[in-house]
Amino acid sequence: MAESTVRVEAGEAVGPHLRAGAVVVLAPGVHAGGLVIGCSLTLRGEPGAVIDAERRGPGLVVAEDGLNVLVEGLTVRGGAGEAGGGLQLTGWSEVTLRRVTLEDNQATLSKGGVGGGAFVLRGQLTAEDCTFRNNRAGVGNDLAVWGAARCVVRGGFFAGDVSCRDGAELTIVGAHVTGQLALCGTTTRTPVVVLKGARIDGGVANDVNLPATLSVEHG
Amino acid sequence: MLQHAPRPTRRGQKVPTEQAAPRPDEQARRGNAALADKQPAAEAGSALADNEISAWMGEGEAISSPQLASTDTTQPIRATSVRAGNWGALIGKADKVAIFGEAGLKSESLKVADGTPCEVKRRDEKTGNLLVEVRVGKEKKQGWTSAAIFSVQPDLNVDDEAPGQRDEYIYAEQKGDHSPVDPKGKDTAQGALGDCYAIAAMAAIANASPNSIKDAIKYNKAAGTYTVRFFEESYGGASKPVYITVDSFLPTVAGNRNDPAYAGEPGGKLWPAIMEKAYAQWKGGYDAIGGGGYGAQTMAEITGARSQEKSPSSMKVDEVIPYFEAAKKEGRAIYAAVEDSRQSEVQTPFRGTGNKLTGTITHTHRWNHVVPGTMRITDKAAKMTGSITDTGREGDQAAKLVGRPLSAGTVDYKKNTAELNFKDGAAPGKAEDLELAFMYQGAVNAEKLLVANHAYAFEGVVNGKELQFYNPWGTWQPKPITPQEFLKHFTNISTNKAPAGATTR
Repeated sequence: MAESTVRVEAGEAVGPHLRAGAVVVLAPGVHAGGLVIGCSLTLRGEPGAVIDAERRGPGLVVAEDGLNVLVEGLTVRGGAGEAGGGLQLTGWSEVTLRRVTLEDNQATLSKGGVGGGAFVLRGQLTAEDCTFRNNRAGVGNDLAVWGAARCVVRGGFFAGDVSCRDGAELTIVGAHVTGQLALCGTTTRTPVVVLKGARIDGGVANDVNLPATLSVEHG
Repeated sequence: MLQHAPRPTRRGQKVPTEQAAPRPDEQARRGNAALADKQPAAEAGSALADNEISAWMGEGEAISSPQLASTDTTQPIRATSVRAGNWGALIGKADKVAIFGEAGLKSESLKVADGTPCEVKRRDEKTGNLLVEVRVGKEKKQGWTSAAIFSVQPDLNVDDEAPGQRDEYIYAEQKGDHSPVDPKGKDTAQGALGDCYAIAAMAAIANASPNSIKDAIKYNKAAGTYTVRFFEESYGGASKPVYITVDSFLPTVAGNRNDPAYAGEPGGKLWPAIMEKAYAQWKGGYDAIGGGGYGAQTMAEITGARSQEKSPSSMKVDEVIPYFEAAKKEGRAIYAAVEDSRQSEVQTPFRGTGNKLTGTITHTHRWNHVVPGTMRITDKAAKMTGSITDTGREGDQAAKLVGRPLSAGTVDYKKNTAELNFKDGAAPGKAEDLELAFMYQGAVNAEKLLVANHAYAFEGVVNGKELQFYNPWGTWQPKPITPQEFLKHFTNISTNKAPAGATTR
């Protein structure tokens, strides 16, 4: 184990180990969520590792700029917030989720909140082979990409809906979305959405008056 | 302020889970509409199957002499180009405006209220006439009209209780200050739209930086319109202003053209409603902003400065008051949102004998309601075989109760009543033995009047030890809360510091 790698047992506080350049390995079991990530690092789960925010806030928060964060091989659940129950990315940072399951998270403000599984307002999210399920929100119950954010989804499964608004960019490659992909721009800008070999069971609802620029490639 | 005194006939009377500040009169109307809304929309271009519609004019004929608003009043914004899918309203100057059917069908025109919202279904290239679809009570109707009475307006919110319909409101001109005068958070009053995040954001900015509100709204005297400045952020963080022009025709409650249905109150300050309307126009309509949003983003879009988020779960009790005091001293707008409130409860509400039992669920606060799909009924005396559950899903008004011992069962979430009809020999020994377990939500702290899933604007620290928030409903104002209560109930805080020199448009 490299010097910058630290293994955290279930029940042990994770926050103090979130240091720049660290590889934080979460042991199987439940770890307290509501992790605010303020530096570039890797958060890796061993099989059975779960971050549970117990409804006390979003599961993971990245609000700082210039970070490079990799989260892989774990489950994030029990997150709650106005936007982004499981993951809230509001900093100009790059976050990669790899083989992460986001489940039972919720964005519950007003008629439902935004992005129950994940909300991306700034920066770039890359989600590789991730599973989004049983997340709850009014808009984009699994994923919402708003503002000027960018998001690339490669593979994976979404049990619910995905929302892309404002001037955001969203690319979905080879993923399966069982819900709806809802797209809406503003009067001053247009979201850009690319679907490559993606399966969207609930269809694409592209706003008639403020549509996204949508390109679909099969295969 | 007088216009914000709690008024029993207005906002905040119903279970507040959707935070649309519903009103009892509106609920009654919506209920009636929902009961009757079984009529499919008329096909585009088809004849209107209604006896009151006749004297048809053709799409190929010019529709002349529309009655338009005279020039001595604020003019609605007319369309420079219109296409299918555009939303707007039919605004003339009489009590009613007419739409007409297709050529060759002799019947009278359909008269609808001046200001009726509509969706453009088609435009005749030769005459410029528009085929529009309007809501008439429980039905959608289509007809042709002159483009001259079509005014560009944001689409209304989807009516939750009338599937396929938009809210049944009428656009009507509202008078008020042309420019925000001494804007304050207390000026805001959310209406029947689930945009508490946006209204609370406006309130928070108005409390901390009233100049940001004043500078954002410009009255265009010649046109009688308002241009609202927002900011949009590009990838990487650069922010630029965008300008959205709207008129002061606002959706109003049926029967009262002076009562804004969404933000605003009769006689209240106009700026929150104008800003809300411009925000809706910018973002794709009232429905687009009414489904949920992110207050930190809205604050940034108003001031051009990025908001700072903080999670209360990362704070200690003794850090709360100093945090708010420091933020206020720095001139930061402060916005905070309250948690989801799901809690479990067990009651024994059933009464009766024989195979039919009925029960009424009681709540400790009138804001509370059962979460559909969470009910489970068991017999503590174990005389009943199996258990009973409800089949409801979030948003349902009623649902079936199902289980092995039942021949039929229903629950009405709105009335908090349930009825069980048992198969012969399957009923419990005593109705009182049936335990009903369920989840409920609504008030997170009834004593302090804190509503679940709701956003608030911070006002100030009270006596150095408690926090005072403002409810963007304009009523049901919470009592001051302790730091412990804040940490228990609030899930996020966002602050926003308007940049110096914000007076430059």
